[in-house]
Amino acid sequence: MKMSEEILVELRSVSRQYKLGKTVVNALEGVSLEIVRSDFLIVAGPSGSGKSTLLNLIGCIDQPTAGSVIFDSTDVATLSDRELSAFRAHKLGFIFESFNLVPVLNAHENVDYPLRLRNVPAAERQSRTEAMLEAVGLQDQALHRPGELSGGQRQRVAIARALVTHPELVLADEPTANLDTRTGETIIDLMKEMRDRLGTTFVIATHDPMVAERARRRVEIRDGRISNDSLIPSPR
Amino acid sequence: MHDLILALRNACRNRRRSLVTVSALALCTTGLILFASYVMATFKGDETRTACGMGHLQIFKKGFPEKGIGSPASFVIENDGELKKVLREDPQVGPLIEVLTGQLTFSGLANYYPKNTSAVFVGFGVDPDDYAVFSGWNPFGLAKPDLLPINELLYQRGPWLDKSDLDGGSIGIGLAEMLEIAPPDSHEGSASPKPAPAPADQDSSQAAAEEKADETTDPGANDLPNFDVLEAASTQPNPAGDGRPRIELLSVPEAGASPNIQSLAVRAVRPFESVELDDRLVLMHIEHASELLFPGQPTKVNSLRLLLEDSRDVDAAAIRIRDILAADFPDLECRTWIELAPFYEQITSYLRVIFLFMFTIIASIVVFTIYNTLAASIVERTSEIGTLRAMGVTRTRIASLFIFEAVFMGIAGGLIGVGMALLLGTIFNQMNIHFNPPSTAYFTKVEVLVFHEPMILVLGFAIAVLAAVGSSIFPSVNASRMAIVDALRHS
Ligand SMILES: Nc1ncnc2c1ncn2[C@@H]1O[C@H](COP(=O)(O)OP(=O)(O)OP(=O)(O)O)[C@@H](O)[C@H]1O
Ligand SMILES: [Mg+2]
Repeated sequence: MKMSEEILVELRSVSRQYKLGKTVVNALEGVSLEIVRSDFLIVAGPSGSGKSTLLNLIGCIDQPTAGSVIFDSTDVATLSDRELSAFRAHKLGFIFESFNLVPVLNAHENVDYPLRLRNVPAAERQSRTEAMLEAVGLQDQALHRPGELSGGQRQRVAIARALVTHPELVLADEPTANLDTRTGETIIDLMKEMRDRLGTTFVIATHDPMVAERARRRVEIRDGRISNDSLIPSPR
Repeated sequence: MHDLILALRNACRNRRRSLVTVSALALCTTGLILFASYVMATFKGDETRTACGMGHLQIFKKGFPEKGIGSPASFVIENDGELKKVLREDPQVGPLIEVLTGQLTFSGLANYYPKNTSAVFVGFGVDPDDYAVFSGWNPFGLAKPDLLPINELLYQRGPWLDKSDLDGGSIGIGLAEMLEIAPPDSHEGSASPKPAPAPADQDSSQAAAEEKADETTDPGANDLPNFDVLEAASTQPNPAGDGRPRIELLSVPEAGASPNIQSLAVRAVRPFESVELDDRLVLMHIEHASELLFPGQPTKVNSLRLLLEDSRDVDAAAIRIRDILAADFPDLECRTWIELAPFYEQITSYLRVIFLFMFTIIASIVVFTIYNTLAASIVERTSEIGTLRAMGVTRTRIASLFIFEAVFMGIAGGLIGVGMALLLGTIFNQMNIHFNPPSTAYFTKVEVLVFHEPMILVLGFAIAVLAAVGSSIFPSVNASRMAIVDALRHS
């Protein structure tokens, strides 16, 4: 790893246990990881290996049972729930497997929502939302509610929503799992394009080999531990 | 602002569930308002009836209500004129007074010579004009019994007194029955069909006779008057020549004195505020009553009665009057209508308890309905909650999203409820439902005062909204405290 690359997130021997009655599940065990800015990182691994758990910790929506998560030089554990909310609103974007758009808001309003959370002035919100919808190719569907959009279109809206605030980091957990291969490919290409254009850091969890091919860096986990961490010299 | 729109859209999203919730809320609100309006009408009705019958305040010599009726002479207020003047001119009491009038209350024996009957009576000697104002006091615009068509037969012979008719008076229907003021042959001779309501109307004269016998032995057994007697009394030709039966009243001003006699022309036979009065009361001109007790002397009274413009001033007026009495009229006391008629308070508190009971049930239904709806809505939107929390929405804001949703349903339910209450209340009032209140001879209209008391509507609406908000707080706060990861896994 080049020294000039600035570290955005650092996991220091992070573990996450789940207690199920008397049994304890070690979803992650002593994971250390550094994520640099503008990275396009794929977390790969079989089902149940701990990919989602890892993303949740990086995304500050879950706390490790041991170890610490340092995000942009801040130890996440020191933040209160309110501070964490603001932290997420300002630094993070999320893309989910099942899109998770707000069903009562149309595409435009869904993309606009995180800007409202950051109290962006109306005029700026308008132009940024429009630009973002155009970037994902949905300017004509702006007034459609999620129920009136296809799966691929919904995920585009979700990408626009995650990126409209220009977050430091976008976390995508199985973003293509609910899409056909063609659509999945275009969605990943769109994310890569956004990363190139805006310099946004992406962390994507997947077990889709097509996605893994497009990574700049690939982290593989198995049974809660990192089994392989490799930079891919010339990703597609 | 945006959160409100979001909440409104969410409330509209599951249309059927929200509709059911809003309808339940509206029905509860309507029920609450209608019941409160009915209770209010009952309060006001009792208040009006009590005030019309006895006034708001009475002043008399100490102990008069307990012992006065037996020896009216020893309870005569000597300086009533002076006291009236003081009260009228008092800056505190004066402006509150609607009527201030003297009354002579006594008892005696009434005889009806044509039938050779006699009965104990209670005499009220009153000023005819003041009495008319008392009877007409109706600040809440209620349907007064004497103006109801259904009671027409009972009240057909007013006015009960006339200033120029010194020896004319009205007697209670029970007393008239006891004195047999209706001659039996006038009843048998009458071929014309009797007017409508007559609940006592019997085809078999045998049955009628039996019923009549029952009533004479136990006058309180049936509250409804014997309409045959009434009708006969109202229409019979009078032996004395002026078309009215005459009774002789015999009374002793105080123990040991010799009785005096006066003749009273019965202008009308009518029901009073209670069957107890119906069985005894002789309502007569005060000068006539005074002449009976104290022949040849100036008119005397043994109580002063005050009717106020507004019942709410009673306590304030009582305090002031007691001060005045203590200072200048130490042998007199003043009592309020509540003190004189404790049943009024009893009925009021009884209705309050019932209302509270109803209120608790209805409020529980509202709380349960809203809670249920929100809980369902929250389960449905768990992953949405997780998503919003991940995006940085605070817990407070998540909770308020759901609370706002409840507020909207509360407002909608409350408004519809108020509207329905106004509509149903109006329809109900127009249906003219009557009932015969306990221990009275007449019918009363069952009313709901939906328009008279805007406060009830405001409160009904407020309760709908508050109950909605109250019951939404717990599930909403719970929803906002869900672990984000768990919420996101839910789908
Ligand atoms: N909330 C939870 N309670 C209990 N166990 C959990 C919980 N979340 C995850 N686990 C367990 O932790 C382990 C890792 O789960 P995780 O969801 O991170 O796997 P994953 O790699 O994302 O799998 P997949 O590819 O199926 O999404 C699994 O064994 C899972 O059963
Ligand atoms: Mg997963």
